[in-house]
Amino acid sequence: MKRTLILTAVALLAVVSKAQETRLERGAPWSDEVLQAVAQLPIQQGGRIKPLDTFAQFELLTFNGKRSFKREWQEGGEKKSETLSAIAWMLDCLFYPDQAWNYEVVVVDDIRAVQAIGLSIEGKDRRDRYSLMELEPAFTRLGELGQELSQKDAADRSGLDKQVLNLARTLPRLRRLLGYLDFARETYDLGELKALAPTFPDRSTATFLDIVKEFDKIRGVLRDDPQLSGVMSSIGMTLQFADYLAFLPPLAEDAEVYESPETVLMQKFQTGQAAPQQWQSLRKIEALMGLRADPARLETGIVDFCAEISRRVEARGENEKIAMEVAFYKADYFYWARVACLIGFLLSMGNWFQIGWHRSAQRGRRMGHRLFFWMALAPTLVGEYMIISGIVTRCLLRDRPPVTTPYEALIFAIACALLVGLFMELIYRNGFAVSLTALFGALGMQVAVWQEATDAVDTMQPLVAVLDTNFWLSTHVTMVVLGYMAAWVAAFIGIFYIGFKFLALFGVWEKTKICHHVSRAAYGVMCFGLVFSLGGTILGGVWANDSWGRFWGWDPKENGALMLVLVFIFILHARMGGYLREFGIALGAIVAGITSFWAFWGVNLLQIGLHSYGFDEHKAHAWMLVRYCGWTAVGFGVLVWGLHRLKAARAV
Amino acid sequence: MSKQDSSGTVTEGPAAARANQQSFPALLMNGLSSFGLTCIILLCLMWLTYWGTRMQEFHSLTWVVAELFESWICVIPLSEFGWGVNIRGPGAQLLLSLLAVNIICGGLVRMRFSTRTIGIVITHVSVLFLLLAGLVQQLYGTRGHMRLEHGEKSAQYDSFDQWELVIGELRADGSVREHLVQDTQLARLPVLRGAGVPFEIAVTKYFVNSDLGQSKTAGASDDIDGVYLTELPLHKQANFPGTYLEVRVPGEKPQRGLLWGLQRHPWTVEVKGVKWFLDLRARVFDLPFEIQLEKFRKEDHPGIDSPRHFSSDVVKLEDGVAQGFHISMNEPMRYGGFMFSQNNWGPQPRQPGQPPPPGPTFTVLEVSSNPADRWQMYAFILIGIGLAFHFLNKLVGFFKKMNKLARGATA
Repeated sequence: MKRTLILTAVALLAVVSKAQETRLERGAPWSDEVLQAVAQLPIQQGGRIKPLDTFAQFELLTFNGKRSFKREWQEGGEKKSETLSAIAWMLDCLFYPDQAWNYEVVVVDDIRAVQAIGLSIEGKDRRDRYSLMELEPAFTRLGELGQELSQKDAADRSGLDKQVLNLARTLPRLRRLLGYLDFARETYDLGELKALAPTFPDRSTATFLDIVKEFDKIRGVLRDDPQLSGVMSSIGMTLQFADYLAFLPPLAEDAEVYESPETVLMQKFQTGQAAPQQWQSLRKIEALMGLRADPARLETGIVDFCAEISRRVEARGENEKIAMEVAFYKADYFYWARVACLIGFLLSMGNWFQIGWHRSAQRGRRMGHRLFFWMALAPTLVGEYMIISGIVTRCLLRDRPPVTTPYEALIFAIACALLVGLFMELIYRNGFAVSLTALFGALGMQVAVWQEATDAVDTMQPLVAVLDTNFWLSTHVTMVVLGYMAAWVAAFIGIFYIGFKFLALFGVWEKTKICHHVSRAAYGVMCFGLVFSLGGTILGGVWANDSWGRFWGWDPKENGALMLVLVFIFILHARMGGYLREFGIALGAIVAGITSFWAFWGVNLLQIGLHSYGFDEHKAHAWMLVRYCGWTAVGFGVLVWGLHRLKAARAV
Repeated sequence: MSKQDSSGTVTEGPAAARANQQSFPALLMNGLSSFGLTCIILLCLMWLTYWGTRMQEFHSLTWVVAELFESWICVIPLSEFGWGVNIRGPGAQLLLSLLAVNIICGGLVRMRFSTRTIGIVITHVSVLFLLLAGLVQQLYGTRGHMRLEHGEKSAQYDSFDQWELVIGELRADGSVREHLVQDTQLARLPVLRGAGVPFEIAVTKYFVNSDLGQSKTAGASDDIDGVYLTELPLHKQANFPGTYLEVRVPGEKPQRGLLWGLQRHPWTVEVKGVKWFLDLRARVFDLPFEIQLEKFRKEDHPGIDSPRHFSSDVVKLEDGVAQGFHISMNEPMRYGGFMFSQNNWGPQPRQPGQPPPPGPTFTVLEVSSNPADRWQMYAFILIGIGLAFHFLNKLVGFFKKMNKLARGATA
């Protein structure tokens, strides 16, 4: 299959834009009205109906690594720039492809990938962005290399190979986007194609749709006349591009699959007929193309067209959640949650600094503590509110519990971790838990945002059949994720404990009870984690029994969950047996955190078993980073513990 | 002297002082009930689970389960990970048995029963129950699959990974009498003799996974009728065994033959005028009733080749009585100690986007028989109650202590 895709890619890339002679550029920015209307255009992609805005955002993420695109150009010797939203960029690609052809929108992490396909472009950084115009000379070479690399075993591919392969897979997609509306744009000069002229009397040009309409009449001419072979291949390519996106709602009430322009065109080609309503929609797009020189009328036309499609989707009862989804992505809850938590953490650091500053003045210390505490708590609460709002909106959009994908599970875990942290603050009231909570929230949301950007796929994809159960998702998955979360929080607390103990070596907070409190907090969180991870793991077995006919299959994901349970049980029993004390609990908590990461992410990277998903090089690197940081923290903890022992021995 | 910790569990004091005073049974009891043993077992289980997971990168799950998780003593081939050593140690069977003993001795027998420890006791009993459920499943459970086309019925299911040699006698009245030899026995290369079978069968070679090849050199040592078997490394998903056999009839020249898991027809031999057939097939389990497929349904998510839902409507036929069942993902059919879950369907396209190969639609049901089918669910409920009781108890105690401290500070 991959080979077929690459071969198709080669074919697609080999065909360079055909309507170069009618270069048109957008004169003014798209109005808010048209952007809003197009953003809410319902399309069907990836097995679900979604707004075009969502699709555009993930497409731009795939190519550009960001949800927006900064366009820079020279005008009259002056350097100009504008930042395009994803939907504005997509509108440019659809209506002004010649202009978009020059957009430096393809991000390449390593310039060697570009050099590997035989290009040498001046003035580019190691990680930089390229336009299709710049990459065009290497399309053929890229196709060949892509085909070669796709046949290579995945394990044998170098980092550079993966970059090249990634380019070979994404560029055809961008090419298809730019050529998507070619069917509405292409015109044929009947003066040059004289054999077609009798079919279109009194006309100097014929559009692509005209050709399709009269195809039955000209089929023989197109087949037999060697001068028209170019038209035939052009038709073939245009049809392939027209399959990029399905936005035409089916006419039959019981039909579920939306039609792309290619479907309608193929019907017309094959049977000579297409549903009039669908055909008219294509004609309307063709008419819109004719208005490109008149932006005001073009925008009005686009808004009307989107409204018409939306009405048809509404009549089918399928656009209830379109506006909500657009609003969800516009609100960008998780980004703002990250910002709020980061502010909370920085302000909480202020609290710790002022405690050190006011060592001798108890009153000033208490006042400063209260002030900074509330200043830190407020943004952290706002961050938590944003995350919960995002989660609730997603649940409403999907009618699912918030744990259907690793991305959702991660956000759910962060939200719960923040609640646990705030609960700890309620118990200890010393400001430590607020710092921890805010830092955890900021880092966690950073990871979630990063994960979404690197995956660059719709995070609300429909579920496979085995996951089509809200009962098991909301019980087993939720519980297991809470168990993982507890381990991460405990690991964070463990790291804080080691940090405090390290400072205590220099006499800072040596005589306070902060370390004791922190250690108890780690223990408490791990008790909480044990309940959920053990319960979740057993429930997973019960689910597996119902789905696959066995309770336990030693699958890597199951083993990961079991490992975490074993680590928790070990720490609790070793503490009761007196083998682990405060230091041991803190170090054990970090090990539990590493194990939890392994269970959540690491085992997926093995690419074996029933739960292997979400593998990519970025995640492998992230897992490696977590692992090394975790074990470094453990090593540092052991060192601090040794220094404390030494200090105690000297004191005796 | 022993002492009791906050959870009520008795822990040991200085071991050396007690050793001179205690009898051997007491010492043994101390050892078996100790937290030290618990910790060692848990560490070993972690070690085993970790490497058992990593080894699935190189070995089949079946192999890993047999070698590590269903064994008493195991060898972890760390050399495969470039560590240069293979480590022999306790297998999961041994560790889980020891854990059960440890829980019984330390978590039940020596536990002081009180309201503070009741949650722990319930949890320990539940974990024992869970381990028992696993043991029962391992000893008495069977798993396999049943492939049914529309209207087809069956009272048998085939094992996923177990195989058997069938020695069948074709009787004059047309009936067949089968003698079965399991694959575990074949691996020991036995000479098979059975009551009512007038010949011996010597298993000269047995490969757990194999491929059939056509001989290029006539008369090669392993060549049987122009084909031969090649041993393959174990596959992660599916293995097809192969075996070389000799049928030895007293006073006659032995007949050599080979059997392969994917062969279409059995090997037929004639002994003293009676026809016998030998076949190597997936182990077959019998059901006390028949299952007939009425209708199989599959719905894709719109526009993509990803199933949203698939299910089978079946009829159970028993003693002339028909009863309908609906089986779908996550909603199995349970009846008579058997569970039928929706596993797969066919024919499926070899590659996404391609049409499926021609042929009648069929469903694949996973069939399992497990006397401990629901025990894990009961264990989960009990563990939930036990842990919730214990930790809530501790949390309440913690809050009381904090309040007391706060009041003390205020005073």
